[in-house]
Amino acid sequence: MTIRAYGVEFMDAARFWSCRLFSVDGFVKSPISALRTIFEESHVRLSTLNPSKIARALILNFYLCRPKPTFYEFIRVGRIFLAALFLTWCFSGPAVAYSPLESDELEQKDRDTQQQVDEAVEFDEFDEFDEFDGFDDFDEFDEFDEFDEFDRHDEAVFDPLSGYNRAMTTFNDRLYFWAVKPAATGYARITPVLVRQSVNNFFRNLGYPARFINCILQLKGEDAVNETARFLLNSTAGMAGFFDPARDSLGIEPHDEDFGQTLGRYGLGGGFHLVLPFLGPSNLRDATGLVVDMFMDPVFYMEGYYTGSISWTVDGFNYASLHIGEYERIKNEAIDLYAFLRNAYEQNREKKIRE
Amino acid sequence: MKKLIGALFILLLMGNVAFAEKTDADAPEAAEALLRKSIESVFDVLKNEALTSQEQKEKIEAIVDPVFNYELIAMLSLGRRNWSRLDPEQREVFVERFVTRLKDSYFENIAMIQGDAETNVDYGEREVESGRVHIPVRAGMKDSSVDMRYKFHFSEGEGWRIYDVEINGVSIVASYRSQFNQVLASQSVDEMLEALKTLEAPEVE
Repeated sequence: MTIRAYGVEFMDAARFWSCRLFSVDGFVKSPISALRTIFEESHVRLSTLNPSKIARALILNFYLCRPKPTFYEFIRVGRIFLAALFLTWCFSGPAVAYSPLESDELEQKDRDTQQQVDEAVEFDEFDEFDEFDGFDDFDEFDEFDEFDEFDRHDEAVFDPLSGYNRAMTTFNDRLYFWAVKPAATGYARITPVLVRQSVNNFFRNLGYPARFINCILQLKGEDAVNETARFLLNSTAGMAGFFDPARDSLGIEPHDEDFGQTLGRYGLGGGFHLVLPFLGPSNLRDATGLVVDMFMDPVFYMEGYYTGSISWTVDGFNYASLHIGEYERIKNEAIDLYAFLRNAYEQNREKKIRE
Repeated sequence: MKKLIGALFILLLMGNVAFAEKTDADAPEAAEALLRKSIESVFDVLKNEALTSQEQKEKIEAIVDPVFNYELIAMLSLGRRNWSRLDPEQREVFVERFVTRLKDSYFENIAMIQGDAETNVDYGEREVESGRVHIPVRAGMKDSSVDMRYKFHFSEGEGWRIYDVEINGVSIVASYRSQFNQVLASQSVDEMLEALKTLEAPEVE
C-alpha cells in the first residue's frame, strides 16, 4: 500500500512538473518556451550558455518550486528511515533462501545418484534373463510419458531476481505476521463482517473503469456489458456500491480484468517473476499493468495529496481482514514457499488470461 | 426372410446393448456421475451436524479415497527426473508421506467450506481426451466463488480416478512439482523426505 503511496507522490510530482514545464493555465507550450520561463524566473539569461549555470538554475528552480507539505515531509523522512531499518532487519535475517545449484552441477548430481543406484543393485541377472520383462505389469515411466502435461513445470524458470524475490517474500511474510495480521484481526473483532464486506464491495465498484476498459481492449463485449450493468445497478440500488445486488439477486458475476491480462491476451509473456513489497507475487508484465491500471482508478484523480494512498491502504487492509487465515494455510502446505507462490501465481494468471 | 431380418435386428440390438455395457464404465459420463455422487455425499457428511469432526473426517476419507489415484498424484508431483533419483525404498516412503500431507491439506480446505451452507456447485462442460476427462466445477460461496477442475483418467480394473485437481487454475501436481524441483536442486533426497515428515502433521489448535 505504501509503495502505492510512493507511487502517488511520484506521480503527483510528475504531474506538477509536467504542468510547470509544458503548460500555463492549461495551455500547452513548447518545451523551449517552458525552459525559457524557468530561466527567466531564475534570472538566468539564455544567452549565457554555461551548462553548469543552466543546471544550477534548473536545480534551484525545481527546489524552490517543489511541493511543500512540510509536516508530511517530516513524516515521509521518518517513514523512509523506518522502511530502511525494516529492510535491513529483513535482509539480515535468514531468508526463505536456497542457493539453487547450477544446472551442470545438478546433472552431475543426477549422474552420481544414478551411479550409486547402479552399483547398489545388481542388474546383471535381470539383464541376462530379460525374456520375462514383457510380463512386468507396468513400467512407471509410461505414466510420465502419458501425463506429460505437467512437464513444462520442469523447465528451469527464468528468475534472475530470485535472491531479491526470496528476500522480498520474507519481508512480506514478516510484514503480514508482525503488522497486518494483528491489526486486521483487531479490526475484524470490532467490525462486523457485513460492514467489511460492504467496504470491500465499495472499492471493487470503484474499480469499474479499469475493468471496463480492459474488457473493451480484450474485445470481450459481453463482459463489458455485464460490468456496466453491475456498475449501474450497484451504484444506485446498491447504495453507491456498498452492496452487490447485481450478484446477489441477478447472479451477474464480476469479471476481474486488468491491464496485465490485456497484455497477456495479445501474446505478451510474463517476463521475469517479481515480488512486490506489500503486494506480493507479480511479474514484469503485471507490474507494468498495475501502473497502467492505477491511471484508470478514479481514486487517483481525487483531490488531496494523500487521498489515493489512504484509500488504497484502507482497501488493502480491509481486504486482508476478510482473508485472515488463507496465507497461513498456504504457508503450512508449501514445501518451498517461494517456489509455490511463484508457480501458483503464474498458473493463476495464465488461467485468467485464457478466459 | 422376415425371420432373418428379425434375427438380424435382434442381434444388432443385442450387440448394441453389449457394446453399451462395455463402454459404459469408461464413458466420460461415468466420470462425471462419480464426481457428482462423491461431491454430494461429502456435502451430506459436512451438513450432518450429529457427527464429530473425527467421524466426519473418517466418513469423507471413505468416500474420497477410492476416487483419488494417490500413488499417481505422488509420482507425477515428483516428476520423472526426481522420481528416478529415488530408490524403491525411498519411493515407498515418499508416496506414504506425500499422501498423508495431501490428505491433511485436503481436510483443512474442506473445513473452510464447512461453515458455508449456501455453497452451490455448478458443473461446466467436460473436456474429453483419450482415456481422460476434465470436469470444471464452480463452487459458489456467499461472497466469492472458486473455480475447480477435476482431472480423471481411466484404467482397467480401477475405473475412473482423479490424477490432478486445479483450484483457480493452480494445478496441485504442477505446483508440487515446481516445489520439488526447487528443493531437490539444493537438497538431497533424504533431506527432502525428512522435510516432508516434519510438516506431515500440521498443528491442530
